[in-house]
Amino acid sequence: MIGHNSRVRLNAAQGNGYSEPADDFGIGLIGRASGNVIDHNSVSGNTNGIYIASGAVDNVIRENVVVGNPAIQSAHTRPDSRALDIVNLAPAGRTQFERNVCVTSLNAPCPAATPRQQ
Amino acid sequence: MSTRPIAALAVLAATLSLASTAFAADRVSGNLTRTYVIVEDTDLIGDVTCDVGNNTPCFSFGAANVELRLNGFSITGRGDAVTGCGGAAFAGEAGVITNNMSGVVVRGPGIVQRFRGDGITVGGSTHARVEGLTLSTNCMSGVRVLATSFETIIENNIAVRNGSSNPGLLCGGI
Repeated sequence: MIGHNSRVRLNAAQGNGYSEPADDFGIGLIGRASGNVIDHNSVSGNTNGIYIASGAVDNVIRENVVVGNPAIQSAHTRPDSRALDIVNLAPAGRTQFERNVCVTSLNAPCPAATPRQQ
Repeated sequence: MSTRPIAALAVLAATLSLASTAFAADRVSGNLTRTYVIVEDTDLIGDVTCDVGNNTPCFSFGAANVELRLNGFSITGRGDAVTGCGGAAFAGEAGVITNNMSGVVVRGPGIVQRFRGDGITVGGSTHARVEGLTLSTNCMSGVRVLATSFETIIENNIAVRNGSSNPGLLCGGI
């Protein structure tokens, strides 16, 4: 999506995207998308899970479950493709991440998938 | 016997009939060969297949603040059942476009599938809603919101197996 001030919530995005090239996604903020809230979605088995392009600013990614992106068959067949649960190419600090569950990411935290600190 | 009560009943019946017509939703099913322009609340009453021209949407909103309700039925385009594409992507060949109309709604349950463009394209609209749909096997994205749209709500949808293999064409579920 390239739109602005939108809400994407409670959706399931699964099995979307081709692995060649590996630029597709389950949910994407592309172009100069701004002011959007992406929350409480389930995003699995896509080429990339949530993809945030370099021009996207001031978006919030909150409480999504973003795991298994890409599926292991795709990762096995194309080990050179860089696809992850969350790919954040936006400038540092211009995307707000809150309590998402993910395993692999670029420039985005996945704290909910790590062991709880004692 | 006076005819006045009968005349009054006839007037009442005619009034009710007119009122019913004024508020009835449009109903659609079957095969579409031209873009269906939505100008009032519209219900699918059966599955729809779209055999419209290349780069042409199946449904296009022609009025603000109206709904397209799928009622559990499907809207199916010309794409391949496995890949969704059947060759190149056709950007204008979407299942539904909002067409600069604001306050419009595409409401499920129902499935939008096999379009050689997006399943739903939200363009030039404010306060559009896409909810309760399954978007499957479309050649570009399940739902695409263009830069000309603001305050769109995309809620409770399932987007599966959408995407394009064209380099540089960033696509996916939503």
